[in-house]
Amino acid sequence: MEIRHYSSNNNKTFSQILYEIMKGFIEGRELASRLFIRDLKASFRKSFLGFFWMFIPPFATAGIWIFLSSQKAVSIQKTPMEYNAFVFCGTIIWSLFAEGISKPIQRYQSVMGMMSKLNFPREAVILTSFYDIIYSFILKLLVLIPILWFLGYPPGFNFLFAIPAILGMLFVSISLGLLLCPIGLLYNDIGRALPMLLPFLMYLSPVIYPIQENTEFPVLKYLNPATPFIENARSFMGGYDFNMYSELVFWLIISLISFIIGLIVMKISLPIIVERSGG
Amino acid sequence: MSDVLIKVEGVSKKFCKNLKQSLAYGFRDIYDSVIGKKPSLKLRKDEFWAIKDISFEVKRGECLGLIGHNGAGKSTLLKMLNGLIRPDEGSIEMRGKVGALIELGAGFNSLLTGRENIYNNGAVLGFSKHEIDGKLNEIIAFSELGEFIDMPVQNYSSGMKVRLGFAIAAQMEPDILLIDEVLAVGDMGFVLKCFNQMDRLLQNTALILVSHGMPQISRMCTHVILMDHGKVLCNTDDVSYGITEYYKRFKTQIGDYNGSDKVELIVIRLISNDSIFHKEDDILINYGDSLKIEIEILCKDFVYSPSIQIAFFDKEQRSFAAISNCSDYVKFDKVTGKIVFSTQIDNVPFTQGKYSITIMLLEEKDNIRNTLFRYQSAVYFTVNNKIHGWTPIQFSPEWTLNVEN
Repeated sequence: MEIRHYSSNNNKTFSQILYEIMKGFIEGRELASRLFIRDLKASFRKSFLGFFWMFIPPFATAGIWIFLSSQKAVSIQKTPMEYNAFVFCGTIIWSLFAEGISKPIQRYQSVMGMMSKLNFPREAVILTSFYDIIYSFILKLLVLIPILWFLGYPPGFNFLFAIPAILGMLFVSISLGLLLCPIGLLYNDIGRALPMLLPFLMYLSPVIYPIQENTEFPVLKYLNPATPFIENARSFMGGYDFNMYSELVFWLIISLISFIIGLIVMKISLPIIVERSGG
Repeated sequence: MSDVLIKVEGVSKKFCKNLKQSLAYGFRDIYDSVIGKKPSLKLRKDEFWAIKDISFEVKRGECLGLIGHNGAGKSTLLKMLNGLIRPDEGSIEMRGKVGALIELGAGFNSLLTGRENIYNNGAVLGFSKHEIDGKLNEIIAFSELGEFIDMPVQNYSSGMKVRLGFAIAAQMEPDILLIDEVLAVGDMGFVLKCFNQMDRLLQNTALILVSHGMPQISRMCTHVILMDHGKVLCNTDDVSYGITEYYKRFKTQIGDYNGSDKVELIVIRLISNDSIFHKEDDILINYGDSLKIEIEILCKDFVYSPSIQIAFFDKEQRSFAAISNCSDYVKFDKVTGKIVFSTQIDNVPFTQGKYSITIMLLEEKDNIRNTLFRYQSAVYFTVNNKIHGWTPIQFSPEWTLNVEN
């Protein structure tokens, strides 16, 4: 018989907490997919344009930069692939990163009412965030491939190699998003700041301009977790060289550690958050 | 030998009144929790004890009623039992699968149909898709929504949503079931269905029921805990005693007096079982005792053919009984000065509960009747009775059974 023990003492061991988190993921997997399907169905019911809304922001950003470049208002030098394709690739991949960071806070906020009334495995919400972002990835890929083909980059076997890079980037973005959750769910400053900060961060990443070989722009190259992943994916699709494998592995390891830390902190802090801000 | 499924020992919980302060404490508490520090037991600024030092046990087959005024801490206690928030002091042990009839219809998306939402709510409650597929027809039949099951939930009335939510939740077979005031909404048919469901579960479950409906509490519960501002006032297996104590907490003694200058009401006395009660007292009368009502009035002028009418109101302010035969016994053409009306009911036939009486003084002159005063809810009194039920009057006649052949 299952026995649950709640007390004011926090004397659970590290391995006990990890075990409970794992159990939460396993028990919550059906709920996670159900939440994803529910919101997906609902988003189509009351919308005329439906999932076209997903594409408008990256297309708009790409469109602006292509226009500016074509008008020679801005001159971006030495892109390793044809500029239009370079920018499209960049903005679409970046949009996935930005979505991944915002997703955990959004998802948790949407179930806050339920969390304050019913007990269900909270880890299901994180799984749902993953499902959301992978769905978005598939849709954007389906659009990106024909566009690249049209711009002179037909899909080939090398495109497949871009997929692990993007999946890795999704994992990194969700880990970061998860770390923001404990404070982000208490104070809505983080949720408000993200939509403003993310476009700004885009310009600190090699999205609409390439990494120049000789400049040592430290934020771009070393401190930005998105950089190696964007470059890796785009390099496979655009057929150019990539040499930031050490940074790639570094950020993957950091993300794995921060993901586990994020899960533990969320597990401990969710009851406190629910108590202070739930219904 | 029943096993103890719920064990609560010395549990307390504090909340903060000020939101900004509360969020700041939340931030601090998260940090303390992560590094493994115990929460402090002192009240910080703007904090108060929502629950202080509660202990009880519930065994399988028992139903505990949690009653108390709004804000007494009942739902907070349920949240702690359900594992949603942590106690600041003490410990809770829950054995077995925990189910909750708390937020019926959680997980519903109003754009989807009732049928689709069955899967959503079911998933939140812990059912797998396979389990729901098996129970789908049963759920739809139980909800009695008929063709509306395929209509978007945004078009449902709140009663329909609750019916659907309950139909899904009723499929749960937990070891512990927590029920929080869901019985307040819903029509009579729904409430009776809830009770039948709870009866079905009671043998194998430990139930905790939070409700303001005392007939429901007295019907279902084997034990009662009365809470007041976070503390336990009484924890008893004498359910009618607990309910009487609950009624006593409500001092709604404000009556409404409308009168003329000609007369002045001096005092109203209720006399039962050799005790004399005035309206300010906590009046407790036993079922079956006699109840004498005395009304003293000062007439400043002549009053012609005076009579008194008395109406009895239940706690929902519905009138259910009256005494209107005063003029059959009191035949005075005209009176003045101090007068005392007196009447006696020999056998108080009321079910357990809180009641009030409304008194009117009438005069009749030249075949015209005039109300000289009307005192709504003049006196409140509580009747103590082992029998509880929905109706205010309870007869206890004798019975015989003739077996023929």
